[in-house]
Amino acid sequence: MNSPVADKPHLTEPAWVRRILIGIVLGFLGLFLFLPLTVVFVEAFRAGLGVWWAAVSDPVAWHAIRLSVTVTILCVVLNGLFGLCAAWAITRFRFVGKGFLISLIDLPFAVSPVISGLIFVLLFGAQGVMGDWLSDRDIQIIFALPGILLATLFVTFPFVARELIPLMEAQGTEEEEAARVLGASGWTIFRRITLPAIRWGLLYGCILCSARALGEFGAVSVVSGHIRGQTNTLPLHIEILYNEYQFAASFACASLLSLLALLTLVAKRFVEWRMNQHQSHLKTTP
Amino acid sequence: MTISVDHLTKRFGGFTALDDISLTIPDGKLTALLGPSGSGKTTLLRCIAGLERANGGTITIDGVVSEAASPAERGVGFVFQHYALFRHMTVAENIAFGLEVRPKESRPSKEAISAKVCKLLELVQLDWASGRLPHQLSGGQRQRIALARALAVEPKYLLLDEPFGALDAQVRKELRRWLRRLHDEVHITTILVTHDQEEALEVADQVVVFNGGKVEQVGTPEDVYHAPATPFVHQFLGTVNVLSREGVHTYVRPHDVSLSHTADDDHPLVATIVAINAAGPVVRVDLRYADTSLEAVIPHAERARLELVAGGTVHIGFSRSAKFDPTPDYAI
Amino acid sequence: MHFRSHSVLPGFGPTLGITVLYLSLIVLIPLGALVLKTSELTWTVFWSTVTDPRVLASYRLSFGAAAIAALINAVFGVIVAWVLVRYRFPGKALIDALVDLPFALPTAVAGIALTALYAPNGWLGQLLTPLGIKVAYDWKGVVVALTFIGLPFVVRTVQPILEELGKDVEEAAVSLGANRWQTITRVILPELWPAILTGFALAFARAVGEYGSVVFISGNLPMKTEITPLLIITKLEQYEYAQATAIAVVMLVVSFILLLLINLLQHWISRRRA
Repeated sequence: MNSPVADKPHLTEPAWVRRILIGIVLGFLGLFLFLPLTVVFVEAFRAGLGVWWAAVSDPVAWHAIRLSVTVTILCVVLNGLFGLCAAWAITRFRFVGKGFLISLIDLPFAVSPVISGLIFVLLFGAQGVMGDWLSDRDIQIIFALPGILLATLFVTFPFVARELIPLMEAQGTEEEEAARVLGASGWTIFRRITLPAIRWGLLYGCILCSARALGEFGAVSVVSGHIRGQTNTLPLHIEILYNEYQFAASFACASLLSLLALLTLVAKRFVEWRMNQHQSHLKTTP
Repeated sequence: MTISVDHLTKRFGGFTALDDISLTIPDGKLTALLGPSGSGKTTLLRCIAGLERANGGTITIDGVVSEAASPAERGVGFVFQHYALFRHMTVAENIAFGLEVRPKESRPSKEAISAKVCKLLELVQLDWASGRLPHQLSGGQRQRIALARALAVEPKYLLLDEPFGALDAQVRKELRRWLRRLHDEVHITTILVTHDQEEALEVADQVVVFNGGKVEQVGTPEDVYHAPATPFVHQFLGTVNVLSREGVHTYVRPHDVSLSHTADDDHPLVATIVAINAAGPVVRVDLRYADTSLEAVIPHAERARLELVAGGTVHIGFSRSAKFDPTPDYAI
Repeated sequence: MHFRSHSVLPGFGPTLGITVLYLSLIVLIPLGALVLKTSELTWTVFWSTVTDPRVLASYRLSFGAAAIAALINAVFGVIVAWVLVRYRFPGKALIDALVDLPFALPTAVAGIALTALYAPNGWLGQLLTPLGIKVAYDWKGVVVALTFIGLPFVVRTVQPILEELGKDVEEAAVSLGANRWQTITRVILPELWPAILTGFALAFARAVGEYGSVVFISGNLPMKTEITPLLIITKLEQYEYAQATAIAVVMLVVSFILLLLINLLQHWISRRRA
């Protein structure tokens, strides 16, 4: 289509209004997005590349990175599989209580991260509902990896399912039913028909899930116990360094996470672009 | 007091939507701009309304060249294909909108506005709907509200862009008859854009046939149907048989093909009867002459008299036909 | 009435089974523990905990700052969405992508970055301090952090509605004599209201529970700059589980009411669009 601005003066604002509005947007986003991002990298490299490298390659930092990555991978896999199951059950069948189930899946989004951690402390902590039972058997959940994993799973619970449900709802069941009539098994239908159609949506949900899992702070902060070199994820490590006035090291680790955040944005944009293409492709080939 | 269009050209990127168009819209009449999609008819309407700016040429409204005039200054009312009603406003608020946005000096009083809204609702026979929201009405009702809204500002010209295009066939038919009656009541100069030839022929006083950004023919509905000026008009308005002989194309409407048992001056050709379809108000006879398929339409009585059977032969002639040099490319 | 209607596709039992089991293990049972712990409290303990002056002060800060931040985001979010949908300018695609940064950037990183900017010796702090404006270690700092984390919500709810809004409605207004200002305020903005409200509610809900980005910049002074989530953690660290639970329940109830409100709003939007 032609440019809406140039030859339809009645559908846009005068040039000076447009300039002011663009100026406001650049100012607002510059102040709230660009400046914080910049300050992370400036502070990270202020003392030189050597200090940055020392902070990032420190064994404690390295352990925190490994822990964060492990938890993130587990979260993406588990919540991804759950998302697929939930989307299949919800979009491919009609049953009583479906709307309620969808609301329950969304529930964790409404819960403060701190409360997301708290509920696991109340369940598995020393004074918790299952505290005595667990300590009798010498099982440690809170202040250990399982607790961190559970809290992160809770916080990132809806991401994949929420992406897949509307997508699969929109796609309908015609192709899968056709495959069924042609004699394909359930697994074959999923692998050959469903998965190719939803792969970008699945990837999109996984990207959002991993970004949140990697950066989760509040929930993990409650259940981790902040044991250095053992139960500190990378965001918690940043907090400890910051509170000990090791600003350079703290920002060095933060720059690592910021870089990942920027990569996430790029990946997210790319997948959005692919999904749009996929959709317009579906439209042109009936 | 007319609209005249002079050498108007409009391009969208590399696509020429209007190619040097000149046209006069007669006063007080209903003019239909008819053509296939992409032929430029809607673009011309939007140019007249000031919603689109032409690349060249002029539009003169009431003697004033209206190049820089804003849509509101042109005194035109515009009705959109998809109604474009304001969803959050009631029917009455929609109709009152054009009066309420006037500057204080020229704005009618609240009482005057609501009286006007009542009158317009009566005119479009929807007085019961005044408090409803658009989504509570049917498509045909919404379009009548859109029309009332356009009329509220008392435009000198009414521009309708495929106003019935989004409606069911049955509603379409009812509404276009209603529009014709409305026009006979208010006599406002109206331009109707449509791709439906039946609609144009039934409603309009004057039909302008568009093709490829150019005007093919201007005339009364009878003119353009019975005396098409170009092969395109011939093919676009109704069914037509095309016979190609010695480098000349002959265009014959099915009801202008006459059949006979015997060869005479009026029936010089011999054709084979391929099929007969008698289900309908008239009988359709599919014929084959030389290498060409022809279609004839005859009354049921005529078929009984001639005792036609599929597979037999019959003598044919053309009571009316038009001859054109072959023009290789026109879109249909 | 049958539990489910017939379908030729297989896998209903296993997939629904896994869904319900996993949902119960990760979400429902842990939330149930909160309810269970709350039921162990007596009403007087519960009431005296959640109406303690320090707790009330934290509600005031958490809800007040979240409301201000969501309001800032509502105003600027509409402008950002408008500019991104309607105008063309260099760098637009980059800015459009950057709007999602608060979703992607870990909250702790945002927290230390904003503190570094607004601390008295920070880039912005040293400009503001001579003017007598204190942002970091003040309630204003909480607003700044909550504005950051809620920034994408209004933009991303308004943007698609604005993109979908037919040009013909605007053209209709123009052809009826409305000027640009009247077209925007009377025709376009009313179409956007539900989306703006939804975005506001989402930003508010997110801000009320936010912890990571706030604790660094707020200074955490009891009665002054202590947000409710921090108070919960403080109570936990002092092994006052009952009090932590009581405060959490109040927050959770508010959050669920917000969630309900958001769902109603979205239902309203989808009905209007149909």
